[in-house]
Formats: sequence, structure tokens, C-alpha cells
Amino acid sequence: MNWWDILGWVLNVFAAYYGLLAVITMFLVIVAAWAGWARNSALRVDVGSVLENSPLAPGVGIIVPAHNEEATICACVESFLRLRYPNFEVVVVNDGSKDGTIQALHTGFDLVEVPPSHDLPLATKPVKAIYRSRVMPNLLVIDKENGGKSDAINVGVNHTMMELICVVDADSLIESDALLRIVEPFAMNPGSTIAGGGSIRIANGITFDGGEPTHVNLPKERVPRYQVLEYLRSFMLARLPFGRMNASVIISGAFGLFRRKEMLEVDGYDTNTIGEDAELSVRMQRHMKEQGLDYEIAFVPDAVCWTECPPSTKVLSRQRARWHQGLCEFLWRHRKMMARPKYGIVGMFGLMFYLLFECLGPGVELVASIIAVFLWLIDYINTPMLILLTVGSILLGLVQSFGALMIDGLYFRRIPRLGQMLRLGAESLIEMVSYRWMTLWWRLKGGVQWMKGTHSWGTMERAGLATAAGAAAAGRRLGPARSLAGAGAARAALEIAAALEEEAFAGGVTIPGTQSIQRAATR
Amino acid sequence: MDRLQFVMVIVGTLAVMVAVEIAVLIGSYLRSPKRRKRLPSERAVMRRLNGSRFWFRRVTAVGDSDELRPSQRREAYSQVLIQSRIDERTAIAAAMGISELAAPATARLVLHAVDEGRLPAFAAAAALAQSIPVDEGNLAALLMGGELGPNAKRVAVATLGERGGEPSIKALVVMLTMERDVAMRLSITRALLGCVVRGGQLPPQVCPRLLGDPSPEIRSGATLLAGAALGDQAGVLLFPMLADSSAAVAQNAARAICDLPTGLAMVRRFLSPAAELAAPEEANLLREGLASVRDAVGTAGRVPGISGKARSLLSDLSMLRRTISSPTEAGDLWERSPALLSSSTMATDGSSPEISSSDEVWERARAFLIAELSLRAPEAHWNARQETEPEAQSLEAVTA
Repeated sequence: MNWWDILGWVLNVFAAYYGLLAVITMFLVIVAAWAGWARNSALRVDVGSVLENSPLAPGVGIIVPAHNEEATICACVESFLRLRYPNFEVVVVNDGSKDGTIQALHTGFDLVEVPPSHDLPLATKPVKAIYRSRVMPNLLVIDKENGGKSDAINVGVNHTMMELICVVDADSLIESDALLRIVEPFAMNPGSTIAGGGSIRIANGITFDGGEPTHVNLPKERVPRYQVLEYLRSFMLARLPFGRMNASVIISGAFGLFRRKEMLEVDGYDTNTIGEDAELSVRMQRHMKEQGLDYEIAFVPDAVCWTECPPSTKVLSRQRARWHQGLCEFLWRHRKMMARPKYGIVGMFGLMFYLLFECLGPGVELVASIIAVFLWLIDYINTPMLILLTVGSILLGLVQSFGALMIDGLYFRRIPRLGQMLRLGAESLIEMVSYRWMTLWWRLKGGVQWMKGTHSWGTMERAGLATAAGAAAAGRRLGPARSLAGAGAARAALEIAAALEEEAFAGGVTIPGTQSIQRAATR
Repeated sequence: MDRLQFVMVIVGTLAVMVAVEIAVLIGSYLRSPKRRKRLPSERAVMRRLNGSRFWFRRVTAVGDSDELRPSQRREAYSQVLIQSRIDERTAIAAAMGISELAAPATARLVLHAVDEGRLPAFAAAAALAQSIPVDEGNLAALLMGGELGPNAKRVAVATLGERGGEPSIKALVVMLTMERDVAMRLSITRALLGCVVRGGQLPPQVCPRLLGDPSPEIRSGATLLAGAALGDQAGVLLFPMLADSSAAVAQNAARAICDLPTGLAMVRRFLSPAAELAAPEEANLLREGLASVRDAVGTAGRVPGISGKARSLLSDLSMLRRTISSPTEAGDLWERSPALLSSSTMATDGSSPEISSSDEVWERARAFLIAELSLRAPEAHWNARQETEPEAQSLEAVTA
């Protein structure tokens, strides 16, 4: 075998890799379209509103880990407290913030310290204090030593007795009916659904009122606009079809729902990993498979959470490197599940897809591009072939971008105008020759960080959502005391009290004075 | 196929795919979603009802139509709901549809669909909650009739808990005496609390029976039920529960006591002997107890509006429970118990509560505490009993 043969072999490997990626991409577009159609048809029966009026709606504990979120925390917690759902509590876990997060919560929600609890199922960093709100009976605030996001979530899981655990980011806004929608698969298949995820969308440039997006504009800056596309591709062309095939690997940490029982069985979030959300969902699936139990991981595309994305490349680069490092970490940790029929479609397809095209993708893409140019320079391939390869690569990106836009436009349509969609589509061309290469580089750096064993979260600067959420919060801020004392709210208070009572029954859980509320409500 | 052809095929396919996607995207936006949808006529709906092979289409056709008479709608929904091969979503649409109509058979249809696995329990509960014409008495009779399976029973119990009338309470109490399954008894207890919150009156024997249930979950729920149903009268039943072997039950009992209108005053009187414990040698014990005991106080502390003083009183109470966890401590405590539990000591806030010997609540609570001591440390109890026989006997008489 001479050098020319080796080069030819390498080229064939890359051609096969891209051929496989193209075929899988087209397959995913078709499955995503089918899944979108099926979900859209299913929405003709509004199960969410049925759930809202059901005395048997499962209880949900919304865990909000917060670290230095002083600017946004109150508005976000208010938006969580106003979610449409008959039976939930919000648990804010202040993870050793150095700013005024806890003071902001004190001021905003009139907190009173309560003694800590015993016999907690998950080991965590020490809790400094626990607070209940005098005005919002379904709000619990926990102040703890810094231990990272996973540790904060575990503390929240320890302190709520609700059947379902909803994990959200403190800088996110959840649409008012999103909880009803994301709980739907758990209510429909109570025995088998163990986790579920919703769509995450970029909030930059969007105006909110009452937690709902009222004016959906594309972000003014180019980098957030590209991220709108990226998120759409990720959720419409990966999570949606993967969810349909029950091959979901990642439940987003910004908005995910887990059954508490199974979460405790696998000891909650792992505090020693960066990609904790994906790691947990894979670990739960592994546990279920090894126990020989049937399960479902659902993805609900119309349960939407809006989050602020980094507007600058400086912050973004850190975020992407961290994500890629997390991806490498959990794939390595669960490598025994890969290509093993025992682990079903997750092992055979889900994890393999993430390994081949997400984890190795940046490296392959970089090496393939360098080799293609090199081969062209040494005249191994001619100019038309190089152009064809380049066009093929761009078309593959366009299939992904327009595929995601098409499915969103057809079935979910959070971007209201055709012009906006076409602009995004057109910008995907520019994205492919600029932004894509930057993210590729950042992801490679993440891979190197994983190999070196670097373990750091870095910091995330918040800019836009605080304004949007704050404006929204200012408009909808109710004096919580008034909201409970008003005649119209009496029934709501009664319902909250009844919901809390229900939880108290489940095992002597410590619940705030629901009877006082009931008395107030019935008066 | 050589390399160039392979690449061309892939590129060509991708190009076609992009073109299709763009066309579909533009088409979807041009076909405005806000276009007013024309409602189908009765004839069209009936044609779909009779012609469609898909039950989902049939049931949504009925929902779409304003033309059908109630009897036609009821008939269509009923037909769908009794089909064995419908999916859950279709069953939900039919159940919610029929629940809006005045159909006497709604409860039976819906509950049977639940038992046969066609309709999820949460949806059935929502349908019955929405179904105003479903007679509470009918539902209660169905529940007591014994023909419902476990899922349907759960739905019926939850629905009756939402109604809270006399037939509901009667049916739930009857079920309570018949039911052996702990989860179901828990649901019934929860439903009874729902009835009480809505103004229902419980028969007097219900709370004591539930508080004596072998399952801690039921006892735990029953503490809240007793507090809600009996008001201050519940004190007699709730104080002994503070010494329950299950911490969860004790927590809920503490909470229920705090919620009673005069609960805190009763706690204060109950804890008045704790002032004696504040002697130097016991101070450490007290502090340790306060540091380690968080169950009862944890519950009480989370009640908005409870003062710090009340919380500390509950801490003392909780500490009393915990200090008797080892035989030695229990023995020590037992030796002190006559004085400790006498009613002539000062309250922790310095006031001197007047506790008459006829105060039944106080006496019974005291008696239960002593019973607790004897349970935890029988040997110490026996030894102490030799020395304090007359006192112990009188207390046992109270307990009995």
C-alpha cells in the first residue's frame, strides 16, 4: 500500500462519514416531521386543561438552583409561581451566591427562617438556612454552601416531596402552560415515563408579558441570532425525533422533568460532572434497562422555556467548551452502553449518534477540511470535486437549518413571520462559513479540556433577559398578600392549600400552614 | 459507483431536500393559520361519524360541531367511550365531551373506561369533577356497590373528596371500614379532609379510628384531618400523637396542634415542666436536644405566623421526646418524672399557668408521655415504678 492508496482510503472514510451523516440527517428530518405532525394532531385534545382541572394531577416540585442571580431571581421566581398547574411548589436553592440573591428573595417574598429537616435521602453540601415565604405558601428557599448546580438541585430534591421534579434555570422564563404540557406524558403513562424535556428557546430580543412572549423579534446581534438557529436545529432535529424513537439522551438542564422515585434510586445528580443533565438521564435509562424495566423519556416540543443566551463570543466560547467537555465526560462514563443491544435504541442509536457526530464531529470536520484542501493542493482531487465537497457540506448544513425551520413553522410556530424565518434561513449560509468554525474550535477546546481533566464552570454574564423579565414582572407583579386575600383569589388559595395537604399526607411532610390558608380562603 | 458519483448523489439529494424544505416552509406561512375555520354541518359531521374508521376523528368531529343535538352528541361520545381499541387521547376527548352533557350514565361509563385501561385516572377525575349533573349520591352508590376496580375507586374517592356533601362523607366512611389497601385508605383519608375543608361534618368515631391505624401514613394524614375536623377538640387526640413511633406522624401532629385555634396555649401548658429541665446539668442536654431534634419544630417552624417563642416551645417538646431515646436517659427522666410532669411548675415564658387537675388534655398528654417512657425503656420503667407506684398507678388509670 503506497501513500496514494492511504490517501484514497482516508478520503473514502470521510466520504462515508459524511454520507452517513447526510442519510441520518434526512432520516431525522423525516422522523421529526412525523413527530411534529403527531404532536400537533394530539394537541386537538387539550390534555393540559384536563390536567389543570384534575384532582389527581401529580405534584411537581420546581427546583431553581441560583448562583449570583440577584438581578433576575425575583422576576423568574414570580414567573414560576404563576405557572398554570394545580399542584406544585417552587424550591429556590441559593448555591452560596456572593451577591445579594438571598436578600433579593427576602425582600421580594417576605421570607421567614424555618428549621432544617432530617433524614434527607441525598448527600449534599451543608444547608445554611431554610426559609418559607409568608406570602406565597408554595415557595421554599434554601440557602446552602456553594457546591455547584448539581449539588444545589440535589438539595432541592431532598426538600420537596412532590412526585415529579422539574429542574429549571434561574435565568429562564417558562410559558404559563409549559408545566401542564410537560407533565402530560407522565400523567398519560404514569408507570413508564421517568423523565421529560421541553424546548429551550432564545429570549434575547423578545418582549414578555405575564411570562408569555408578546413580541417575538429576532435578536439584533448576529451571535444570538445564530444561536436561535442552533437551538432550533438541536431541539427540532435531534430532541424531537429522538424523543419519538424513545432514544433521548439529553434532557436539558434548563427545563427538564424527572420522576423523583427513579431519581433517588440513582442517587440524584452527579456532582462530579459538567454535563450533569445528560449524565443523569443516561444513568436513569441505564438503571431502568439493567433492572429490566420498561420506561419512556419524553420530549414535549410545545412546552417552551425561554432563556437568555450569551451575546458575546467570549462568554459563548466558555459555554460551548464546557458543553462539549460535559458531552465527552458522560459519553466516556457510559461507554459500556454503546452499541450494546441490551441498552436498546439508546445504546444502539442515541449514544452512538452523539459519539460519532457530536463528540467526534468537530475533530472530523476540521481534519476532513484540512485533508480536502491538502489533497486539492497536491492535485489528488480536482477543483470540481473540491467545490462539490464544499457545496455538499453547505447543503448538509442548510438541510438541517431549513429542516428545523420548516418543522417549527409547520407545527409549533413561535417565530410568527415568514420574513423572520427566511432571514434566519439565509443567515444560516453566513453562519456556516463563520460562526460554525468558531463553535468548532471552541468544542475542540472543550474536548482538550476533558482530556486534561479541567473542571470549571466559569461565569455567565446576564444582560438582556433581566430587562425583559423585569419589565414583564413590573407589569404583572401582584402584592402576594393581596393576591391571597382577595375574594377572587380565595378559591386559588384553597386549591393551593388542598394541594399542599395532599403532599403532607404522603408521609408527614413539613408543609406550611395550609389550614390557616383554608380558613382565610373560606372566610 | 465511483467517489465522484457518490458525492454527486448525496449533494443532489441534499439539494432536493433543501428545496422541498424551503417550499414547505413558505407554503405553511402562506396558508395562514388564522384563517377562519368553517364549522362542518350536521350532515357532514354525521357522515364523518358514520364513515370514519378512526375513532379520534369521530370524536373530534363531534367536538367541532355546534349543529348536533345533545342526544346525538351523547350517543356519539358514549359509542366512542365503550370501544375497546381507542387510544387514551380519544377516550379523554369522549369523557370530557360527555361530562359536559347531562348524562345520568356518565359516572358509570367513565369509571368503567378507567377500569378497562382506556382512560387515564387523572382525566376521569377531571371529567367527573366537571360533570355537574353527575349526582353525588349516584357516585357514592357506585363506590359502595363494590363493582369498581382499584383505579376507578381511586377516581371516585378523589371526586367525592371534591364534593364534600353528606353522601360523599357517608360513602367514604363506609369505604374506610371496608378497605384493606393502605394506599386506598390514604386516598380516602385525603378525600375526607377535602370534604371537611369544604364544610362537611365527620362522624365522631372517624378521627380516633384513623389515628389508631397501624399504617403511619394514615396516622400522619389523620392528624391533619383531626385538626381540620374537630378544631380545639382535636387536642385530646393530637397530643398523644406527638409521642408516636413515627417521626412523620409526630411532625404532622405538631403541625396540626399549632393550627388549632388555641393550640399554642395548649402547647405552652404542656411544656411548662420544661422549665425544670433548664437546670445547669440539664442545660447541655437541652441544647443537644434542640440541635438534634428538628422534626416537630421543623413542621411548626414552617407555618407562617408562628412566633419564635412558640417554635422554641415546640423544640422543648420535641427534645422531651428525643431525650428518652436511650434507656439511661429514659431512666433518669423517669426518676424525675413525677416532679417533671407535675402541673405546678413555671412555663418557659415565665408565666405561671394554672393547670387544674381536671384538665383532661393535660392529664392525657402527661399520661401518654409516661406511657412513652415505659415503652422506650421498660427496665427503667420497672425500676422507677417501684419507687413511684402510687403516682404511676394513678397515671395509668388516666391512660386507661
